[in-house]
Amino acid sequence: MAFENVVVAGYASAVQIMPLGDGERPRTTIGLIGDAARRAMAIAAIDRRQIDAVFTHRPPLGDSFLLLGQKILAELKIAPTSTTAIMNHGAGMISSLKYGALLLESRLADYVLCASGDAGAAWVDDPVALNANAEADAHFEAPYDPITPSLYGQFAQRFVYERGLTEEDLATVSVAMRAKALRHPEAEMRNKGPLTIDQVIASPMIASPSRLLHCAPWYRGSRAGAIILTRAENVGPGPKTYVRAIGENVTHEHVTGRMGLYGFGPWKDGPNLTTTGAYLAGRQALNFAGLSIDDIDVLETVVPFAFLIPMILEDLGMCERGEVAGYLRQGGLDRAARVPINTNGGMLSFGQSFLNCVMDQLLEGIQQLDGTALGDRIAGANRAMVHSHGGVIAAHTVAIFERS
Amino acid sequence: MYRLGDMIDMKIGGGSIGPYDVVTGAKVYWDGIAEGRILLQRCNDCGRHSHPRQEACENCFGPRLDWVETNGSGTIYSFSTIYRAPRQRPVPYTLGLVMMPEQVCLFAEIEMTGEITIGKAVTPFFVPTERGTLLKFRLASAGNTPNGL
Repeated sequence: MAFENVVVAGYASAVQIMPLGDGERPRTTIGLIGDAARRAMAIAAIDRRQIDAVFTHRPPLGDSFLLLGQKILAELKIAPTSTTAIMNHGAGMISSLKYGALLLESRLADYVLCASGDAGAAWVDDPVALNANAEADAHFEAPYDPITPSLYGQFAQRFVYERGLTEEDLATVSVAMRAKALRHPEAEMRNKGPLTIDQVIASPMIASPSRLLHCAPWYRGSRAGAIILTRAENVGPGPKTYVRAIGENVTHEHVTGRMGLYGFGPWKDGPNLTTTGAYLAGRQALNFAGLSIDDIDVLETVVPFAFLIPMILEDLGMCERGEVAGYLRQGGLDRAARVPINTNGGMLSFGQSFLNCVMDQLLEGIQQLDGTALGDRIAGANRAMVHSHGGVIAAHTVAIFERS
Repeated sequence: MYRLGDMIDMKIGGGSIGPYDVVTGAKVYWDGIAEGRILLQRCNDCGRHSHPRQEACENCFGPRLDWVETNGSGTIYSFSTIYRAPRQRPVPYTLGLVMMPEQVCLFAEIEMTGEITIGKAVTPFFVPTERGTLLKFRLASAGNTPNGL
């Protein structure tokens, strides 16, 4: 089913860039989310008493509130009739729009606040160690000292092998993402200058086949965002950004367990590491909306390694199965490509703002439709697709927004 | 069989193994490794093997799972060589997924004694460490015996 009547009533972000200025104090996750939510409410021209539902994501790394949503309610003095945190890793922030849209269409809510934020840059000492401990199976993987890029590396090595991707192909992804970030005033790599293929290939190996410049940098700053959804009749006349459809698929928790996944969908005949849940999530979203991938004007994908961009493009149907090497070599990631991808540089060059990275990309997709993006602007874009993954390529959600 | 108190002796996984896994098989698996045996679960009803441990068969949901020994030789399904290690561990080292004849994958270290590529045959060996005995694999060439010991 498509959502017929759900629109974005208002949205906003809040950011504190590091390093801090003289006398500037680090903001907290709640402080930044509060700023974003109050701005979004002002843009939607509603007050806090009109919000019926609040959704957020799993505990942020910056302030480890187990019940982040409750903290947001307490800060904003909202008393919703529906609220929860969507916990399927990074995919949860997009999933929250789905639950909000369902409430709106069933008239259990009139206004829904989806809020995200993470002041991890200000408060986390060692995000690398923190992350690796969480991503591995404690009993069957962790004893071998994996690092997060090496868990993703199991997917990466197999994908590179099966698709015949070269070092140059992977480097092409990093080069293209850097170029977009240079044109975005808030991107982590905005001042780092353009990359060359040779620079990427010369960068140190982290966990094969991923080199340093194939990996997302942590965002040196704290970011938050808020989106308020409502039904179209609650906003004035004129163009609106509709939430048309959201597809979702979650396949596993750990890499070893993933190799026990078989019997349905793209894993019908046995497990593989080269087709992700984005394959099913993307098709579900397109089918719900009655669209094909050819109807999409701009694509944002929240992924932290270079190999994942071609993997997701193939899963979403941007090229024929197994043909993504040719897609990359024909300039598929260029600014002038028919479907621009990651217009702010994505996680690879906009940077990973801890758990807010999904909201960053959601807002980038929405801004492409109303013409307010801060970096590259895609003229005439009417439909944006935003994909997020979470866990070690475990959870996938795909949203389609339409301006009309 | 295993009692809850057994978890005190369980060092694999940073000493954090709780009663859930004593009951459901992480300890059975690692005790097998300590004896130089690789144990997989096999369903008594449909015959399918599974790994990591399941409470019931992943195929037919049958509740009767036996622990059976595999001869341990497999092929490299995928791998990643690590150059930035956690803690103070020397680099590089390679972690990979090894496909066993029973059609389950084991996650383990692959010894870097030759060029590691997908599809190569590997044999197991067992290394006592401060965290308990670990299963590792090495390339099957260079005269390694099937049991690797």
